[in-house]
Amino acid sequence: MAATDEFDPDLLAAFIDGRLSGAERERVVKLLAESEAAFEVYADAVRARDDLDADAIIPIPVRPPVTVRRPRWLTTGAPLAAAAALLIAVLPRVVSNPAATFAMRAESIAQPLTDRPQLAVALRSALDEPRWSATRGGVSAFVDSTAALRLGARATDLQVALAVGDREGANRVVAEMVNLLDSVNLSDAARAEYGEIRKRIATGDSTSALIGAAATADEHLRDFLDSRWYGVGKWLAAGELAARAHSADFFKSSETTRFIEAAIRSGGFAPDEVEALRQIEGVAKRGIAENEFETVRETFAKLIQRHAS
Amino acid sequence: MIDPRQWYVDQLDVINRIASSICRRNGVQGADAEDFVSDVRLKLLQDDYAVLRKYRGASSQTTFLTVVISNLFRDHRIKHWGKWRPSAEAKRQGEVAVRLEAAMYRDDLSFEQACQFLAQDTRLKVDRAELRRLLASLPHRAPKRLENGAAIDDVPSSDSADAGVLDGEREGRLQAAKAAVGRAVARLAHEDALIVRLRFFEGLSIADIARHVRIPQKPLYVRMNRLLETLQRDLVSQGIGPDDCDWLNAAGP
Repeated sequence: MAATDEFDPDLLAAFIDGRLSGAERERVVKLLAESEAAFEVYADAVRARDDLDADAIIPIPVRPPVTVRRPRWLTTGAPLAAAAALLIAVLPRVVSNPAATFAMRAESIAQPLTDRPQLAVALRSALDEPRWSATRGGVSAFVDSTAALRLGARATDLQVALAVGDREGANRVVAEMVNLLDSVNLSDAARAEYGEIRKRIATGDSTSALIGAAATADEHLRDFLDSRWYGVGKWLAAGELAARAHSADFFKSSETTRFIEAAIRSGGFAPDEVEALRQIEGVAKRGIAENEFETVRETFAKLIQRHAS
Repeated sequence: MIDPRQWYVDQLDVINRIASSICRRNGVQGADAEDFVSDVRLKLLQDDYAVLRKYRGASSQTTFLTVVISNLFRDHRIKHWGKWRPSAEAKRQGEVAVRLEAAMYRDDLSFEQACQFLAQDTRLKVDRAELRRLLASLPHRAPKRLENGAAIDDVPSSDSADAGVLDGEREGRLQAAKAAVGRAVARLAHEDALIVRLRFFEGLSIADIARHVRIPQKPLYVRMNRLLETLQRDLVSQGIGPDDCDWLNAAGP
């Protein structure tokens, strides 16, 4: 049975166009929540619609002259993989999963901060004060922890800059990331992706589109670097910014607690650093007081300084 | 009242572009894509443009065509390829990942053959190293056939996957977990279920979900966290818990 036997294509199209409200919208939302067929059609349609809007469609290529054995079609695929993806997203909440904590996107890490009115000022201060000192040398054979941590810190700065609408700050951060990537072998794709974001900032692309592009680039960079220190950099920069912006919400967040626990157990920090992290953990658990933000900020700043220099 | 014949003629270019987009995003190319475009044209003409006559003007004409052609693609896919679909992770990573996944897991090509196949499309600027990285990041199993003996060492295992074929027990547990996820998502409010499906079944970003479902983006981050917590509780109540974490991380994307 064709999916359109189950629904009115004009109504679904009207939902995609944002023309429905009230009971009609409810009807379509219910359909999409309950019908696998309608959901699949909808998902393909919204992507195709985006392609049309972006004029991103290219002609169907001519058949490549490769002999392809006709397939033995597999019947596994998206539904099973999607279920696994969702479970993996949920399960880190069931048990603390350090890998998942370090792999979180900068966009998600910084999210509890973004309501703070002081955040824009805090970001400016952070960008104006060098987070690390030494200039790095030539191209590395491998991505080292220092470069990964620096890139992670800047990935957070970029998301925060975009979230507060600081395009000039975002531009500075992206430029620095591109420079940092110059020292990383085989990083052409990542450099190009951040270079593209820089162009889009300059050409006045919308903030929401830039946030999405930065989130995607962040995930690609995480996969490319494949270093826990990239995630650590994101978290440390977020902690430092949260303390600057006096964001109690950030320190109350269960995700922040999980990061601190994971960092303590990771074996990547010296004993005095572990002790400092334990103090922050204690402060976060009981609720951070106004007069403690500066001390916490200094702790995060020192950790960044030590591991990024 | 729109004259469907004139509409069809006027929109042929748009029809072709929509069909091309859907093919590209689903890893369909070459002769298969050409077949689909021909099929779309035929279906739109059939029964005196019966499909186009369903248009009442509730939506824009272009979006209506997009839904109709997406639906035709679904029929076409089921007829030719059964249940196989690109994974959310491949869709998130883009055309090259979708085509690599389709070549290996749908078309049953080896990694070597898939590389050669993709290399012939000069639009795609990828090298073997990039394809290896993509393959390692995809949620399915390792390529079933590898050539030249050492090729298996050529393809890195993902951090999250041994990339081996799932054995019976793991397959069973994954199916049970999938059923549990289905039940948990079905118990959510309709809009919440739609949001979760778009995020995890289709790999859309929060920003894209907000745009498509027409809801504010900023509160959606908090809402998503709450939804995941709700799903977590539901899954725990169904017996999916810490013991499942290791093998799920090994099986999933």
